[in-house]
Amino acid sequence: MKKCEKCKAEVMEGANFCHTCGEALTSVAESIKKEDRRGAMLEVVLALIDKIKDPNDLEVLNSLLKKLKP
Amino acid sequence: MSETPNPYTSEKKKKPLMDLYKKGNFPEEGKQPKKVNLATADELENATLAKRMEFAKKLKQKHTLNISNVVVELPKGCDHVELFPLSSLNIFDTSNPGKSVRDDKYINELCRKLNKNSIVVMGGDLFGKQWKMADLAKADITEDNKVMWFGINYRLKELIKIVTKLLNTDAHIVLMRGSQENEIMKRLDGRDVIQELIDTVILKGKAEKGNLYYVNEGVQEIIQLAKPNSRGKIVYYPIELRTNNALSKTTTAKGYLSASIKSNGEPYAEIPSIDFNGNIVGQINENHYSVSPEKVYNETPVGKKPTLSPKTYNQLTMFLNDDGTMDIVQGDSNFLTEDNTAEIELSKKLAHNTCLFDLAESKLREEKFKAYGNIVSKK
Repeated sequence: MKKCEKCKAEVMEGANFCHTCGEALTSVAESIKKEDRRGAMLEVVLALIDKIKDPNDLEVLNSLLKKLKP
Repeated sequence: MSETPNPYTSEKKKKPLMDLYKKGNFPEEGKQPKKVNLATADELENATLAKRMEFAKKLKQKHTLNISNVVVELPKGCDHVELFPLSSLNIFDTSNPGKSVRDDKYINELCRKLNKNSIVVMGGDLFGKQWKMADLAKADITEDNKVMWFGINYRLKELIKIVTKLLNTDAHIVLMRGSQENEIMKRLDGRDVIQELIDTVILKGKAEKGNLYYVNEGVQEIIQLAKPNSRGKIVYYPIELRTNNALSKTTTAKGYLSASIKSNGEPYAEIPSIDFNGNIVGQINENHYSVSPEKVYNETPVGKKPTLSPKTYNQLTMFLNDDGTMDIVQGDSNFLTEDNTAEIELSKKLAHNTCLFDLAESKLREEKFKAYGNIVSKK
Protein backbone atom coordinates (compact mmCIF):
# COMPACT_ATOMS: atom_id res chain seq x y z
CA MET A 1 0.00 0.00 0.00
CA LYS A 2 1.23 3.47 -0.77
CA LYS A 3 0.04 6.85 0.51
CA CYS A 4 -1.49 9.80 -1.33
CA GLU A 5 0.79 12.83 -0.88
CA LYS A 6 -2.16 15.22 -0.79
CA CYS A 7 -4.63 13.63 1.64
CA LYS A 8 -2.39 10.88 3.15
CA ALA A 9 -5.02 8.21 2.42
CA GLU A 10 -3.78 4.65 1.80
CA VAL A 11 -4.16 3.70 -1.84
CA MET A 12 -3.69 0.42 -3.68
CA GLU A 13 -0.30 -0.30 -5.20
CA GLY A 14 -0.43 0.65 -8.89
CA ALA A 15 -3.47 2.95 -8.51
CA ASN A 16 -3.55 5.92 -10.87
CA PHE A 17 -5.76 8.19 -8.78
CA CYS A 18 -6.38 8.61 -5.06
CA HIS A 19 -9.83 7.21 -4.30
CA THR A 20 -10.57 9.87 -1.67
CA CYS A 21 -9.29 13.18 -3.14
CA GLY A 22 -8.82 12.28 -6.82
CA GLU A 23 -5.16 13.31 -6.86
CA ALA A 24 -3.20 11.98 -9.83
CA LEU A 25 -0.61 9.48 -8.62
CA THR A 26 1.09 8.50 -11.86
CA SER A 27 2.30 10.30 -14.99
CA VAL A 28 -0.53 8.69 -16.99
CA ALA A 29 -3.05 10.05 -14.47
CA GLU A 30 -1.50 13.54 -14.75
CA SER A 31 -1.80 13.36 -18.54
CA ILE A 32 -5.48 12.33 -18.21
CA LYS A 33 -6.12 15.35 -15.99
CA LYS A 34 -4.28 17.65 -18.44
CA GLU A 35 -6.38 16.30 -21.32
CA ASP A 36 -9.56 16.85 -19.28
CA ARG A 37 -8.64 20.51 -18.80
CA ARG A 38 -7.74 20.97 -22.48
CA GLY A 39 -11.01 19.31 -23.53
CA ALA A 40 -13.04 21.65 -21.31
CA MET A 41 -11.24 24.72 -22.72
CA LEU A 42 -11.80 23.53 -26.31
CA GLU A 43 -15.53 23.19 -25.57
CA VAL A 44 -15.57 26.80 -24.32
CA VAL A 45 -13.69 28.04 -27.40
CA LEU A 46 -16.13 26.16 -29.67
CA ALA A 47 -19.10 27.77 -27.88
CA LEU A 48 -17.52 31.24 -28.18
CA ILE A 49 -16.83 30.81 -31.90
CA ASP A 50 -20.58 30.41 -32.46
CA LYS A 51 -21.35 33.67 -30.58
CA ILE A 52 -18.48 36.05 -31.46
CA LYS A 53 -18.68 37.83 -34.81
CA ASP A 54 -16.11 40.60 -34.34
CA PRO A 55 -12.89 39.89 -36.34
CA ASN A 56 -10.63 41.28 -33.56
CA ASP A 57 -12.24 39.04 -30.95
CA LEU A 58 -11.97 36.11 -33.36
CA GLU A 59 -8.22 36.81 -33.64
CA VAL A 60 -7.98 36.61 -29.82
CA LEU A 61 -9.81 33.25 -29.95
CA ASN A 62 -7.43 32.12 -32.70
CA SER A 63 -4.38 32.84 -30.52
CA LEU A 64 -6.07 30.99 -27.63
CA LEU A 65 -6.82 28.01 -29.86
CA LYS A 66 -3.19 27.84 -30.97
CA LYS A 67 -2.18 27.43 -27.35
CA LEU A 68 -4.52 24.43 -27.10
CA LYS A 69 -2.94 22.62 -30.04
CA PRO A 70 -2.07 19.02 -29.10
CA MET B 1 9.53 -40.53 26.00
CA SER B 2 10.83 -42.35 22.96
CA GLU B 3 13.86 -39.99 22.64
CA THR B 4 17.20 -41.59 23.44
CA PRO B 5 19.34 -39.42 25.75
CA ASN B 6 22.09 -37.48 24.02
CA PRO B 7 25.48 -38.99 25.01
CA TYR B 8 27.02 -35.51 25.07
CA THR B 9 24.59 -34.30 27.69
CA SER B 10 25.62 -34.59 31.30
CA GLU B 11 23.28 -35.98 33.97
CA LYS B 12 23.03 -32.51 35.49
CA LYS B 13 21.69 -31.09 32.26
CA LYS B 14 19.09 -33.80 31.61
CA LYS B 15 16.35 -32.48 33.90
CA PRO B 16 16.27 -28.84 32.66
CA LEU B 17 16.60 -30.07 29.08
CA MET B 18 13.65 -32.42 29.50
CA ASP B 19 11.63 -29.61 31.08
CA LEU B 20 12.37 -27.28 28.17
CA TYR B 21 11.64 -30.05 25.69
CA LYS B 22 8.27 -30.85 27.26
CA LYS B 23 7.36 -27.18 27.53
CA GLY B 24 8.28 -26.55 23.92
CA ASN B 25 6.85 -29.63 22.27
CA PHE B 26 3.77 -30.75 24.15
CA PRO B 27 0.41 -28.97 24.39
CA GLU B 28 -0.41 -27.05 27.56
CA GLU B 29 -3.31 -29.32 28.34
CA GLY B 30 -3.37 -33.07 27.98
CA LYS B 31 0.36 -33.62 28.30
CA GLN B 32 -0.27 -37.31 28.58
CA PRO B 33 1.24 -39.19 25.63
CA LYS B 34 -1.32 -40.85 23.41
CA LYS B 35 0.47 -44.14 22.91
CA VAL B 36 1.42 -46.82 25.40
CA ASN B 37 5.15 -46.52 25.96
CA LEU B 38 6.51 -49.65 27.57
CA ALA B 39 9.88 -48.05 28.31
CA THR B 40 8.50 -45.65 30.92
CA ALA B 41 4.91 -46.76 31.64
CA ASP B 42 4.24 -43.46 33.46
CA GLU B 43 1.22 -42.82 31.32
CA LEU B 44 -0.43 -46.05 32.45
CA GLU B 45 -1.30 -44.41 35.74
CA ASN B 46 -5.07 -43.84 35.92
CA ALA B 47 -5.56 -45.56 32.53
CA THR B 48 -8.67 -47.65 31.86
CA LEU B 49 -9.66 -49.84 28.94
CA ALA B 50 -11.41 -48.25 25.97
CA LYS B 51 -15.03 -48.95 24.99
CA ARG B 52 -17.08 -49.04 21.78
CA MET B 53 -17.34 -45.23 21.58
CA GLU B 54 -13.56 -44.80 21.68
CA PHE B 55 -13.20 -47.51 19.02
CA ALA B 56 -15.63 -45.68 16.70
CA LYS B 57 -13.79 -42.40 17.29
CA LYS B 58 -10.44 -43.98 16.51
CA LEU B 59 -11.83 -45.57 13.33
CA LYS B 60 -13.19 -42.23 12.21
CA GLN B 61 -9.76 -40.67 12.52
CA LYS B 62 -8.10 -43.46 10.55
CA HIS B 63 -7.81 -42.34 6.95
CA THR B 64 -6.71 -44.75 4.28
CA LEU B 65 -8.30 -43.08 1.30
CA ASN B 66 -6.40 -41.77 -1.70
CA ILE B 67 -9.23 -39.50 -2.73
CA SER B 68 -9.56 -36.84 -0.08
CA ASN B 69 -12.86 -35.53 1.18
CA VAL B 70 -11.66 -32.01 0.40
CA VAL B 71 -13.71 -30.26 -2.27
CA VAL B 72 -12.83 -26.67 -3.09
CA GLU B 73 -16.02 -25.02 -4.33
CA LEU B 74 -15.45 -22.32 -6.90
CA PRO B 75 -18.00 -19.73 -8.03
CA LYS B 76 -19.83 -19.93 -11.35
CA GLY B 77 -17.98 -18.10 -14.07
CA CYS B 78 -14.58 -18.86 -12.57
CA ASP B 79 -12.63 -19.84 -15.69
CA HIS B 80 -9.25 -20.35 -14.07
CA VAL B 81 -7.65 -20.82 -10.67
CA GLU B 82 -4.19 -19.82 -9.58
CA LEU B 83 -2.45 -22.33 -7.34
CA PHE B 84 0.13 -20.82 -5.00
CA PRO B 85 2.32 -23.35 -3.19
CA LEU B 86 3.51 -22.45 0.30
CA SER B 87 5.53 -25.32 1.69
CA SER B 88 9.02 -26.03 3.08
CA LEU B 89 8.59 -23.15 5.50
CA ASN B 90 10.85 -24.89 8.04
CA ILE B 91 9.71 -22.37 10.61
CA PHE B 92 12.47 -21.39 13.08
CA ASP B 93 14.96 -23.86 11.67
CA THR B 94 18.33 -22.18 11.43
CA SER B 95 19.48 -24.61 8.74
CA ASN B 96 17.11 -23.66 5.90
CA PRO B 97 14.15 -21.49 6.91
CA GLY B 98 11.72 -20.59 4.11
CA LYS B 99 11.64 -17.16 2.54
CA SER B 100 8.52 -16.03 4.39
CA VAL B 101 10.11 -16.81 7.75
CA ARG B 102 13.22 -14.80 6.86
CA ASP B 103 11.23 -11.78 5.76
CA ASP B 104 7.55 -10.73 6.00
CA LYS B 105 7.80 -9.25 2.51
CA TYR B 106 7.23 -12.63 0.84
CA ILE B 107 3.93 -13.32 2.63
CA ASN B 108 2.72 -9.73 2.18
CA GLU B 109 3.49 -9.93 -1.53
CA LEU B 110 1.64 -13.26 -1.73
CA CYS B 111 -1.41 -11.90 0.15
CA ARG B 112 -1.59 -8.98 -2.29
CA LYS B 113 -1.88 -11.40 -5.22
CA LEU B 114 -4.64 -13.52 -3.69
CA ASN B 115 -8.30 -13.34 -4.70
CA LYS B 116 -11.33 -15.64 -4.80
CA ASN B 117 -9.77 -17.59 -7.68
CA SER B 118 -6.60 -18.37 -5.71
CA ILE B 119 -5.76 -21.59 -3.90
CA VAL B 120 -2.84 -21.57 -1.48
CA VAL B 121 -1.59 -25.10 -0.85
CA MET B 122 0.49 -25.35 2.30
CA GLY B 123 1.93 -28.66 1.25
CA GLY B 124 3.75 -29.85 4.32
CA ASP B 125 7.22 -29.42 5.79
CA LEU B 126 5.97 -26.35 7.59
CA PHE B 127 7.24 -27.12 11.09
CA GLY B 128 10.92 -27.74 10.43
CA LYS B 129 13.24 -30.36 11.84
CA GLN B 130 15.16 -28.64 14.62
CA TRP B 131 12.66 -29.08 17.45
CA LYS B 132 14.16 -32.36 18.61
CA MET B 133 16.11 -33.12 21.76
CA ALA B 134 19.37 -33.41 19.80
CA ASP B 135 18.94 -29.81 18.60
CA LEU B 136 18.03 -28.59 22.06
CA ALA B 137 21.12 -30.21 23.57
CA LYS B 138 23.45 -28.41 21.17
CA ALA B 139 21.50 -25.14 20.87
CA ASP B 140 23.25 -21.80 21.36
CA ILE B 141 22.52 -19.71 24.44
CA THR B 142 22.39 -15.94 24.04
CA GLU B 143 24.08 -13.43 26.39
CA ASP B 144 20.81 -12.86 28.24
CA ASN B 145 20.45 -16.61 28.84
CA LYS B 146 17.96 -17.49 26.10
CA VAL B 147 18.19 -20.88 24.46
CA MET B 148 18.08 -20.57 20.67
CA TRP B 149 15.77 -23.51 20.25
CA PHE B 150 12.13 -23.36 19.25
CA GLY B 151 9.68 -26.09 20.18
CA ILE B 152 6.60 -27.18 18.28
CA ASN B 153 4.31 -24.94 20.36
CA TYR B 154 6.17 -21.76 19.33
CA ARG B 155 6.37 -22.87 15.71
CA LEU B 156 2.62 -23.58 15.78
CA LYS B 157 1.92 -20.03 17.03
CA GLU B 158 3.91 -18.54 14.13
CA LEU B 159 2.13 -20.75 11.62
CA ILE B 160 -1.26 -19.70 13.03
CA LYS B 161 -0.24 -16.08 12.38
CA ILE B 162 0.64 -16.89 8.75
CA VAL B 163 -2.60 -18.83 8.15
CA THR B 164 -4.67 -16.07 9.79
CA LYS B 165 -3.03 -13.52 7.50
CA LEU B 166 -3.86 -15.67 4.47
CA LEU B 167 -7.44 -16.14 5.66
CA ASN B 168 -7.94 -12.38 5.61
CA THR B 169 -7.92 -12.67 1.81
CA ASP B 170 -10.62 -14.40 -0.27
CA ALA B 171 -8.31 -17.26 -1.23
CA HIS B 172 -8.87 -20.95 -0.42
CA ILE B 173 -6.22 -22.29 1.98
CA VAL B 174 -5.45 -26.01 1.76
CA LEU B 175 -3.25 -27.54 4.48
CA MET B 176 -1.55 -30.88 4.16
CA ARG B 177 1.01 -32.88 6.11
CA GLY B 178 4.50 -33.53 4.77
CA SER B 179 7.28 -35.74 6.08
CA GLN B 180 8.01 -33.31 8.96
CA GLU B 181 4.43 -33.27 10.23
CA ASN B 182 4.31 -37.05 10.03
CA GLU B 183 7.54 -37.23 12.01
CA ILE B 184 6.05 -34.97 14.68
CA MET B 185 3.07 -37.32 14.83
CA LYS B 186 5.39 -40.29 15.22
CA ARG B 187 7.75 -38.77 17.79
CA LEU B 188 5.34 -36.73 19.89
CA ASP B 189 2.89 -39.51 20.53
CA GLY B 190 0.40 -38.84 17.78
CA ARG B 191 0.29 -35.06 18.00
CA ASP B 192 -1.55 -33.80 14.87
CA VAL B 193 -0.19 -30.26 14.70
CA ILE B 194 -2.11 -29.24 11.58
CA GLN B 195 -5.41 -30.31 13.19
CA GLU B 196 -4.46 -28.21 16.25
CA LEU B 197 -3.74 -25.27 13.96
CA ILE B 198 -7.14 -25.63 12.23
CA ASP B 199 -8.93 -25.94 15.59
CA THR B 200 -7.23 -22.79 16.92
CA VAL B 201 -8.02 -20.76 13.81
CA ILE B 202 -11.66 -21.93 13.85
CA LEU B 203 -11.91 -21.17 17.57
CA LYS B 204 -10.68 -17.62 16.90
CA GLY B 205 -13.45 -17.25 14.31
CA LYS B 206 -11.03 -16.65 11.46
CA ALA B 207 -12.30 -19.43 9.19
CA GLU B 208 -15.93 -18.38 8.95
CA LYS B 209 -15.82 -18.03 5.18
CA GLY B 210 -15.33 -21.81 4.91
CA ASN B 211 -12.16 -21.42 2.87
CA LEU B 212 -9.84 -23.45 5.11
CA TYR B 213 -9.30 -27.13 4.27
CA TYR B 214 -7.20 -29.91 5.79
CA VAL B 215 -6.19 -32.81 3.59
CA ASN B 216 -5.52 -35.18 6.48
CA GLU B 217 -5.60 -38.52 4.71
CA GLY B 218 -1.92 -38.83 3.78
CA VAL B 219 0.93 -37.44 1.70
CA GLN B 220 -0.39 -38.40 -1.74
CA GLU B 221 -3.96 -37.20 -2.06
CA ILE B 222 -6.44 -36.14 -4.68
CA ILE B 223 -8.52 -33.07 -3.98
CA GLN B 224 -11.37 -31.87 -6.15
CA LEU B 225 -12.07 -28.42 -7.49
CA ALA B 226 -15.81 -28.06 -8.09
CA LYS B 227 -17.38 -25.46 -10.35
CA PRO B 228 -20.77 -25.05 -12.05
CA ASN B 229 -20.35 -25.11 -15.84
CA SER B 230 -22.24 -22.91 -18.30
CA ARG B 231 -25.33 -25.17 -18.01
CA GLY B 232 -25.28 -24.95 -14.23
CA LYS B 233 -24.05 -28.54 -13.68
CA ILE B 234 -21.31 -29.08 -11.11
CA VAL B 235 -18.08 -30.25 -12.77
CA TYR B 236 -15.21 -31.72 -10.73
CA TYR B 237 -11.57 -31.12 -11.56
CA PRO B 238 -9.33 -33.48 -9.57
CA ILE B 239 -5.71 -32.64 -8.80
CA GLU B 240 -3.18 -34.79 -6.98
CA LEU B 241 -1.01 -33.26 -4.26
CA ARG B 242 2.21 -35.04 -3.25
CA THR B 243 4.15 -33.73 -0.28
CA ASN B 244 6.64 -36.39 0.78
CA ASN B 245 9.61 -35.17 -1.25
CA ALA B 246 12.05 -33.51 1.15
CA LEU B 247 13.84 -36.78 1.81
CA SER B 248 15.12 -36.81 -1.75
CA LYS B 249 18.40 -34.93 -2.17
CA THR B 250 18.66 -35.49 -5.89
CA THR B 251 18.91 -32.49 -8.21
CA THR B 252 18.26 -34.13 -11.57
CA ALA B 253 14.77 -34.45 -13.07
CA LYS B 254 15.20 -38.20 -13.67
CA GLY B 255 16.45 -38.90 -10.16
CA TYR B 256 13.81 -36.67 -8.65
CA LEU B 257 10.97 -38.38 -10.53
CA SER B 258 11.99 -41.84 -9.35
CA ALA B 259 12.42 -40.53 -5.77
CA SER B 260 8.99 -38.90 -5.95
CA ILE B 261 7.40 -42.18 -7.07
CA LYS B 262 9.26 -44.06 -4.34
CA SER B 263 8.19 -41.63 -1.60
CA ASN B 264 4.65 -40.81 -2.70
CA GLY B 265 3.61 -43.64 -5.01
CA GLU B 266 2.84 -43.74 -8.75
CA PRO B 267 0.99 -40.65 -10.01
CA TYR B 268 -2.60 -41.24 -11.12
CA ALA B 269 -3.20 -41.35 -14.86
CA GLU B 270 -4.99 -38.38 -16.41
CA ILE B 271 -4.89 -36.40 -13.15
CA PRO B 272 -2.43 -33.51 -12.85
CA SER B 273 0.11 -34.27 -10.11
CA ILE B 274 1.78 -31.51 -8.13
CA ASP B 275 4.84 -32.22 -6.00
CA PHE B 276 5.82 -30.02 -3.06
CA ASN B 277 9.09 -29.65 -1.13
CA GLY B 278 11.22 -31.16 -3.87
CA ASN B 279 14.77 -30.19 -4.69
CA ILE B 280 13.98 -29.35 -8.28
CA VAL B 281 11.10 -27.41 -9.81
CA GLY B 282 9.39 -27.45 -13.17
CA GLN B 283 7.43 -29.94 -15.24
CA ILE B 284 9.12 -33.23 -14.41
CA ASN B 285 6.89 -35.50 -16.46
CA GLU B 286 3.71 -35.35 -18.50
CA ASN B 287 1.02 -33.79 -16.29
CA HIS B 288 3.44 -33.86 -13.33
CA TYR B 289 4.74 -30.61 -11.84
CA SER B 290 7.06 -29.75 -8.99
CA VAL B 291 6.80 -26.46 -7.15
CA SER B 292 8.87 -25.20 -4.24
CA PRO B 293 9.08 -21.41 -4.08
CA GLU B 294 9.82 -21.10 -0.37
CA LYS B 295 13.07 -23.00 -0.35
CA VAL B 296 16.23 -20.94 -0.24
CA TYR B 297 18.70 -23.82 -0.33
CA ASN B 298 18.37 -27.32 -1.70
CA GLU B 299 18.50 -30.36 0.52
CA THR B 300 22.07 -31.67 0.45
CA PRO B 301 23.72 -34.89 1.53
CA VAL B 302 25.63 -34.61 4.85
CA GLY B 303 28.96 -32.84 4.44
CA LYS B 304 28.08 -31.26 1.07
CA LYS B 305 27.72 -27.52 0.62
CA PRO B 306 24.08 -26.51 0.04
CA THR B 307 23.22 -24.92 -3.29
CA LEU B 308 20.63 -22.24 -3.89
CA SER B 309 17.24 -23.57 -4.86
CA PRO B 310 15.66 -22.43 -8.17
CA LYS B 311 13.66 -19.25 -7.79
CA THR B 312 11.02 -19.67 -10.45
CA TYR B 313 7.82 -21.73 -10.90
CA ASN B 314 6.14 -20.30 -7.87
CA GLN B 315 2.67 -20.65 -9.27
CA LEU B 316 0.47 -22.79 -11.50
CA THR B 317 -2.44 -21.35 -13.43
CA MET B 318 -5.19 -23.87 -14.18
CA PHE B 319 -7.78 -23.15 -16.82
CA LEU B 320 -10.98 -25.03 -16.01
CA ASN B 321 -12.74 -25.92 -19.25
CA ASP B 322 -16.48 -26.40 -19.47
CA ASP B 323 -16.15 -30.08 -20.40
CA GLY B 324 -14.25 -30.96 -17.23
CA THR B 325 -10.77 -30.87 -18.75
CA MET B 326 -8.04 -28.67 -17.38
CA ASP B 327 -5.12 -26.83 -18.97
CA ILE B 328 -2.19 -26.03 -16.71
CA VAL B 329 0.31 -23.28 -17.36
CA GLN B 330 3.37 -22.88 -15.19
CA GLY B 331 4.20 -19.47 -13.93
CA ASP B 332 2.32 -16.60 -12.40
CA SER B 333 -0.34 -14.44 -13.94
CA ASN B 334 2.24 -11.98 -15.27
CA PHE B 335 2.00 -13.73 -18.60
CA LEU B 336 -1.71 -12.87 -18.81
CA THR B 337 -1.66 -9.43 -20.40
CA GLU B 338 -4.00 -7.07 -18.65
CA ASP B 339 -5.46 -4.00 -20.33
CA ASN B 340 -4.07 -0.84 -18.82
CA THR B 341 -7.34 1.05 -18.41
CA ALA B 342 -5.66 4.37 -17.58
CA GLU B 343 -3.69 4.37 -20.81
CA ILE B 344 -6.80 3.46 -22.84
CA GLU B 345 -8.65 6.32 -21.13
CA LEU B 346 -5.83 8.72 -21.96
CA SER B 347 -5.74 7.70 -25.64
CA LYS B 348 -9.55 8.19 -25.88
CA LYS B 349 -9.29 11.67 -24.37
CA LEU B 350 -6.42 12.59 -26.69
CA ALA B 351 -8.41 11.47 -29.75
CA HIS B 352 -11.50 13.35 -28.51
CA ASN B 353 -9.52 16.57 -27.93
CA THR B 354 -7.79 16.33 -31.31
CA CYS B 355 -11.23 16.14 -32.96
CA LEU B 356 -12.45 19.12 -30.92
CA PHE B 357 -9.35 21.13 -31.89
CA ASP B 358 -9.78 20.36 -35.61
CA LEU B 359 -13.46 21.29 -35.39
CA ALA B 360 -12.69 24.55 -33.55
CA GLU B 361 -9.93 25.44 -36.03
CA SER B 362 -12.13 24.91 -39.09
CA LYS B 363 -15.08 26.74 -37.52
CA LEU B 364 -12.88 29.68 -36.56
CA ARG B 365 -11.45 29.90 -40.08
CA GLU B 366 -15.00 29.90 -41.42
CA GLU B 367 -16.16 32.58 -38.97
CA LYS B 368 -13.12 34.75 -39.68
CA PHE B 369 -13.78 34.43 -43.43
CA LYS B 370 -17.39 35.44 -42.85
CA ALA B 371 -16.42 38.39 -40.58
CA TYR B 372 -13.79 39.76 -42.99
CA GLY B 373 -16.21 39.17 -45.88
CA ASN B 374 -18.83 41.32 -44.14
CA ILE B 375 -16.29 44.13 -43.63
CA VAL B 376 -15.25 44.05 -47.31
CA SER B 377 -18.88 44.03 -48.47
CA LYS B 378 -19.74 47.01 -46.18
CA LYS B 379 -16.87 49.05 -47.68
